[in-house]
Amino acid sequence: MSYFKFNESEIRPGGHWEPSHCLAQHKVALIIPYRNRRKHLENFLSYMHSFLQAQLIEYSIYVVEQTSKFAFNRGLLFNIGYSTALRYEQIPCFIFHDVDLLPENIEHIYACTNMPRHMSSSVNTFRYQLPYGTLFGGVVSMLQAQFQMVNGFPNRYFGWGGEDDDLFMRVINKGMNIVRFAPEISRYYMLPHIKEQAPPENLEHLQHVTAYQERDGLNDYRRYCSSIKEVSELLYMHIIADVLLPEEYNQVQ
Amino acid sequence: MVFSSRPRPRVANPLCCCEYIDKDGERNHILACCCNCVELDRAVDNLCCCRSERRPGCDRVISTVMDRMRIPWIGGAKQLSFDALLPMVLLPCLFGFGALGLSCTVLVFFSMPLLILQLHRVYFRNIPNTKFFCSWTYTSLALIFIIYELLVVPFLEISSEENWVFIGISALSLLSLYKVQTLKQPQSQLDVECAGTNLQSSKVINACDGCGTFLLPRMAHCNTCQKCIPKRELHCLWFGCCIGSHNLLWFLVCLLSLSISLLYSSNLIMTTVCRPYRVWGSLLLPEDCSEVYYEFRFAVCFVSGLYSLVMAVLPVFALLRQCWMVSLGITGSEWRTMPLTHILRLGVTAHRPHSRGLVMNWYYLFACQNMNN
Repeated sequence: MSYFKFNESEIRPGGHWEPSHCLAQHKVALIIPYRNRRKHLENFLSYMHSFLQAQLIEYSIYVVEQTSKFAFNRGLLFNIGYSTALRYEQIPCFIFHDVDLLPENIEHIYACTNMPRHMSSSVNTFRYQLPYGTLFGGVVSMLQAQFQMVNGFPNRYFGWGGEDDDLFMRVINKGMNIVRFAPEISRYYMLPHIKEQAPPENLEHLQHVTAYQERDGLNDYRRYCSSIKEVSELLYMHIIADVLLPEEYNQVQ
Repeated sequence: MVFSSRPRPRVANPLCCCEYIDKDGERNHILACCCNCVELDRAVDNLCCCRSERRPGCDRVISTVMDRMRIPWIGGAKQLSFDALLPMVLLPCLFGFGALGLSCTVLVFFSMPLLILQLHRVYFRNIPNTKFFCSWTYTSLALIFIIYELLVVPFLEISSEENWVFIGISALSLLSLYKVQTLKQPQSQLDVECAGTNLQSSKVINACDGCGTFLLPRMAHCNTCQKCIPKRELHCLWFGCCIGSHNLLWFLVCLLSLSISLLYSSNLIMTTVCRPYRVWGSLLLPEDCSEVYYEFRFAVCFVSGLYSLVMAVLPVFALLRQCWMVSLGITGSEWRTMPLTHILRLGVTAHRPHSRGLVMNWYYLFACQNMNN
């Protein structure tokens, strides 16, 4: 699939690149939650660097890794990645990206629109169909101000599923709507992995989105981490987060 | 097709829905199905007294059991025929077993043809008009359709256009299948002309040994149907009827729509449960099916998709063969009586007195069908 070449020497440590011969029209940060998928990450990085450089976009790539034994918490990792990235540089546009999705069409511009944008609406494992209209998972791009306004992703979804639907409702609650590009443009190829089922708690959480929107999100994610460490790698900024369960989870268990 | 109707003798009191006339011509009730079986008594007697059980005795017990397997129906209980019921039980069991794992799937798909052959050889060969194969066809189509609509469509990965196209093709194949089975052969002058010659030039001399019909040119006797069919092609076991000039066009339509619908359903099912990749435009093909056995639902869909692909081989092959024979201007019966040297050259070199050239052969196929209707 990789039909472009990327120039490794032009990439600054921490995975930052900008076109040398012109001024980039868009500046974005890619936030990638990650755990235990070495092969996927290598494929993703080599593919995305060439893809984004072909689009002449100024970008940086932040890979947020969860180290603890608890279930994977995608929403929390996005919040950590977002806050950490903002400490390094001013970024107007964020793209929240799964590590197993690769865009197929070079015309799929990696930038923000005036509304939050669902980018992965046509994925091969769904036969390139959109399963349901409110799907907002996979790859999502949002302006920094909008992400701040909806109070980011929820932190309380441990395990697969639910946090993307929660984010969709947060966006709707704030009076915004989502946009998608044409299916021929937003085609994605999903790297193979085993399908998972959403745990019942996550479905339960979805019943109380509005009540938790101001309490659970960007302003609250620190309660869930014991330490956050940044390592500047050759092709990406590696953020290692030690996730812990806050008080109320311990009481339940 | 489940119910075999037999002519009922007239009785003074009409039968209630649970009564029937049994094979000995006596009035019986389905509640008494487990009572008073003379044949069984005799068989057990023979067994206890160590008398050698003759084979007809065993057959009589079976025929009594089959005679008593009935369901209530208006105007008398209807008989359920065993050979028609068998596929309805067998196929879902095979699907369920095949979904247990890769080795089970392989086992099912290798044993299925052997099973059908064995059943045909041992059992159904003796019943000339068995409904087993016809029932197998209908059960397969119904099962694939049910699994597709109830298990595959709820994954929400199939667009409504694709779904409607599939339903349309399935409806067309069912309609043409119905037409093939119900069209009667007209006994008219036109038909004889369609058969390839006109009456004046040929002499009608022979009567058929089997059924006594006067043999017109290109007519052939079918042992299963017990009658002569003009321009007989073959007796289709899977459709349960003979194919002749009267239904050949619908037969071709049915084969074509059946091939498309089976291939299409297989493609839709496989690309839903497997990881697909895009070949061209909106055409998808399955790429990696290694994950289907993690969940039973995926596995059942996968097995039915595979089954529909395997089944598609039959109508595709029959369609190609039939189209070739129509182009050559020969019938199936004539093909089978050809010497081997001609068959090996695909019949091109054979003597074909009734062929009128490639275009006209096809033209007459359509023209005759219109006149018949």
